[in-house]
Formats: sequence, C-alpha cells, structure tokens
Amino acid sequence: MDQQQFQKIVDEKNPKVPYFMNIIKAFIVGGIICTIGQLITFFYMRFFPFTEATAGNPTVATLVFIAMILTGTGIYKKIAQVGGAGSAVPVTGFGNAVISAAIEHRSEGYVLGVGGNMFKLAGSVILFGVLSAFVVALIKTILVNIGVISW
Amino acid sequence: MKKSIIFFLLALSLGACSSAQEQVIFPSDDSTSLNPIIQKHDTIHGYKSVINEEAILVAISINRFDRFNKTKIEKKLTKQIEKAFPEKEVLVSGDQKVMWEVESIIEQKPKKEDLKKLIEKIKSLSKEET
Repeated sequence: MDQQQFQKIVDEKNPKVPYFMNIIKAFIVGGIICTIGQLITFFYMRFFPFTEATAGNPTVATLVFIAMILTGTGIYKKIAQVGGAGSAVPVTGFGNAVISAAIEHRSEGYVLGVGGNMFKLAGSVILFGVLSAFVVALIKTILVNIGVISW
Repeated sequence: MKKSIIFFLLALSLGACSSAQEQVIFPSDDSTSLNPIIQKHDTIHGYKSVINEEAILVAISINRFDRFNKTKIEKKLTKQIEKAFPEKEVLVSGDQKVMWEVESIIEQKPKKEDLKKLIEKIKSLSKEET
C-alpha cells in the first residue's frame, strides 16, 4: 500500500466536515456579537457625550471586558465551540486570546509568567495590525499628495 | 426550539422596518430657505435643524449605503448652506448623536440663552476626535 492509497482510505473513513453548517453558525454567532457591540455603541452615544466617531473606543474596551469575564468563567470556550471563526474574528476573540494566555501562565509568576506570555498568541495580531495600518496610511498619504483622492 | 428561533429571526427582520424621517426646523416660525437646499440631495432622507442668530445646526439622516460618502455629503451641504446664510456659522452632521441632541433641543423648546449654550455643546461634541 503506498501513500496515495492510504490517503484515499483515510479520506473515505474520515467524517465529512460540515462546511456549510460551520459557515452558518459562524455567521450567526459573529453577527450576534457584532449586534451586541452596536447596542453598546448606542448605549454610549445615548447616555454619554460620545459621537458615532468617538464611541468606538469605549465599545471595544467594554467588549474586551465582557470577553474577559466570559473567558475566566469558561463560557467563551463553549461559544467558540459553536461559533468557530464567528467568535474569533471580532475583537472579543482578540481579548480571549490575550486573557486565556494570561490565565494559563499565571502560575509562573506575574512578571515572567503573565507579562512574558500574555501576548504570545495575540502579539502577532498587534504587530501585523500596526504594520498594515502603517502601510495603508502611507499609501493613502501618497494618493492624497498626488491628488487622486481627498481625506 | 426551532420554532422559537424562526420567530426570533422574523421579529428581527421585521424590526428593521422603520418609519420615514421627517423634516423639522426649530424655531418653526423661522421662515428659511433651508428646505429647498436639502431637498435637492436625494442621498438624504430627512433632517432636523436648529437655528439661532449666530449658527445653524443641521442633523441629516443619510441613506444607508450613501453613508460611505458621509463626509463628502456633509461638506457639500455645508458649502451650499453657507452660501445661503453667509452671516451664520454652519454645522452639518450625519452623526446619530448630533441627531439625538438636536431632537432633544426641539423637545425641550429652550429659550434664547439656553439654546445658545446647547448649540455650543453640540459644536464641541462634533469637534471631539478622541
């Protein structure tokens, strides 16, 4: 039996991945998270002096705070099991990645344990987020200076 | 379980139907040429405005997919209104917060000095960037 035959048998025996159901579930879970975020935005705009442009910052902070509580109590794990990418792509997924790493390495001490390992998972997100934002801003600055678009 | 989910989704989709925006100017006895300027724009489906001696505040509600061009529409409208009212300071905003603040001013029906304070408050709000 060579490699290809073996692979064929493995493919036959493996249960099929329910791609379509996964996509639907991710859509619904991600949509619910984003709806909650929109409601928090409206809450900050209604009861605090924030406008549409400025309400984003406290909303992100609140969502990460909620994700922190859900991660600590183990509820976010269950949401992620159902939602998959729908729970990982919004900012709550980022919060979850930071906080779960911090909880995991708590026993190694606060400085070298928590401080050193907190951004093991999410550090790449921050790095490439900052880098891509810089590149996009650079492109836009050049385009504005040439006169193709305006701010 | 399934039925309740379907019911929930139906209620959600029906909740998206909202009433049409009206056009309100405060004080209402102020006869202005604001209406024809704004009605020329088909990207705007309603506005609420507050006017005193020094300033004009216009909160516009922009159609859903035209919101991508929000700043452009605001700028264009600001220029046109400034032309019509050269002696006044004009603030046009498509921001929901400004809309709510203008609505609360219209509901309160404040006197002249209070109105001035409230308008200043909204102006400083819209300048805020952090």
